[in-house]
Amino acid sequence: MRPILYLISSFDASIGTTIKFSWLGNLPVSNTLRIKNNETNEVVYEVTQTTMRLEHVISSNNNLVNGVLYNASVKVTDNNNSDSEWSDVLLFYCFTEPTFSINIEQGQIIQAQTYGVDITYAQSEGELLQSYRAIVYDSNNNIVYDSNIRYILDTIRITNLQDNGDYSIIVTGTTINGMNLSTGLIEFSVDFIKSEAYFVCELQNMYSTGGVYIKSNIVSVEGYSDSDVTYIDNDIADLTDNVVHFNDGFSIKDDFSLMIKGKFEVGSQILKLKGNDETINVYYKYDIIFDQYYFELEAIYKNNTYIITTDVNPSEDMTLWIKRINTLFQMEVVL
Amino acid sequence: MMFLGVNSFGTDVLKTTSNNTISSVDVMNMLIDDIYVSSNENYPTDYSGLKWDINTIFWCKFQGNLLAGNVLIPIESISSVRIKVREYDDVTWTTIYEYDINTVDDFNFANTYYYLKGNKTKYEVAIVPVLNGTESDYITNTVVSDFDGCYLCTKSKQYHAFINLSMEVTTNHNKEFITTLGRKKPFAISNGKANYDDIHMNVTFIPMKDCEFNIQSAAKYRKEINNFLIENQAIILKDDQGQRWLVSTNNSISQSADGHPANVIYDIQFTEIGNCDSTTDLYINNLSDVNVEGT
Repeated sequence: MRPILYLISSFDASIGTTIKFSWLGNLPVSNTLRIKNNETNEVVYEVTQTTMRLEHVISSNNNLVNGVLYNASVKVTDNNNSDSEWSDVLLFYCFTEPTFSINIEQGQIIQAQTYGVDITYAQSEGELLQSYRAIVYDSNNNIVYDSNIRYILDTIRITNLQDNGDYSIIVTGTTINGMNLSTGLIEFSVDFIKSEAYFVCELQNMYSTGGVYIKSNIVSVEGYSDSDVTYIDNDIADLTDNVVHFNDGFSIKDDFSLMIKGKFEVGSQILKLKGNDETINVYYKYDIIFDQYYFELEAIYKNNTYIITTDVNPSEDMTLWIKRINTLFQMEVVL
Repeated sequence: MMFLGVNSFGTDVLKTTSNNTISSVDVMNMLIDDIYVSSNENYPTDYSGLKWDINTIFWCKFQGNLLAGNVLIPIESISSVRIKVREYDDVTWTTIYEYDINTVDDFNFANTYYYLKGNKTKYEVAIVPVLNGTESDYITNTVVSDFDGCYLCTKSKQYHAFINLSMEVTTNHNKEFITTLGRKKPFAISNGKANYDDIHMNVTFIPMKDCEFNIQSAAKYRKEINNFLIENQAIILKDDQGQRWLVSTNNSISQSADGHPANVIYDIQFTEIGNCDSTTDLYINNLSDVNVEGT
């Protein structure tokens, strides 16, 4: 009678592995594993381990070398101190442990509902990846995504991640020579903003045509400044010696309201609006004769200048409203 | 406080200017908190009540940046915008359009989507800016989809019909019953996962003009319908009962006049060839230009 070795998956020689076998004879008290270089038939490992378990642990301290094909056989010594015959040999490779990782780090916060998971695989002796599988669990350990077994390395797209949700992902794989791979369980959370308050997405059911009209009202305007802007408490911009221009992504047609809130420099221009044939300048001034602060709006249209003013009792922060209604300008200051 | 047309010296100086479009706004010489522009000329001048609405042109809060839009992402970061849809309370989003963004004007897009179920089905639609392949905020809104009759839709064509409409649906699956010696009852053998519908539809197609039947164009319109039906193109078939299929026409299409030469009733057999909720099925059947989710 002789033992039978179970399939030996490829393993990293610098790490070792546990080799299992079956045995139907008397109670085993030890086993001996012999490993030979399959090409030269030189014995590179022959160790006897005293154990009743039907397994043999190859520690990291062995003579095996990665990238080499070996054959192994095992024999068992029973409680009568009699040795079994050697088992049939089984071939296996030793390979350096591959790099197997994904683009999600432990504790990462993902700011999207859909995320593309990229898998990185590399093996120094050229051992190829046979298959892999990704599974995503929610905080209750329910499976919310399963890629099933895949054979071609490609981005895995995880969809339907919920805002403020906690998840974990594990990707497992196998090389063509049976080396098992795993990223381990990687926990991550999801946090994205749902800007429902914004009137960005305009929808209308079209009963007579059977469709739904979808219109984007995305407003994407970004100002630029003459020099770097200094912000105060991340809420106020210091433009005492600077100018911010907005001139892309919008147009102000016909009637409008414009509000500007801040602390204005006396005796200076604070606002300039420009269109075809028309420039509107707004100043904050002080009349020394009447001891009166006031805003002045100057509209220059085809070389004609028109002016309105509004008196104000100055305060730290003022809010100035400018409105154009039927070509007429109005100003109002709210303290 | 307000001096409409009166300067600080009490003189009327207000004159009519113009309604010209303003395309540039500069601010300077101040510590600025906000600048807000709205096309609503009657906007209440209560600062605390400011909000984004359909009339807002731009609003810069100077909170560490100069962004003044309703999507607080720098323009140059946005590579595209996706439109996604899902039934309300469902968890699965489906991308239906993706628009490349190269200039600010590319944000102004609109489209009509014809594949949604009817019968007052509530949908959630999301606009999703994409930053170099990574999705940003989901900006959502809801709509109730409703219509009458039935529609045959592709990406570019939609045909409506509601007269003489009837549908007969058969769900197909493979199952055989095998009787054996020594056993009174047969075995049920189910090979494969086949599960698809055959739809037998009777309906009359008549063109409409100004909400009335355009009988004069009926024959020409039917010829157009015939060409549409025999094209080797998958079709979304949906009705006002909330049913929807991804189908292809099956065999020949017959027509017969019933009482009036223009009252031609079609007899059409459709076979379901895909799943309307599968982005891959829509994509490979040329019913969608995108397959982001790959479901």
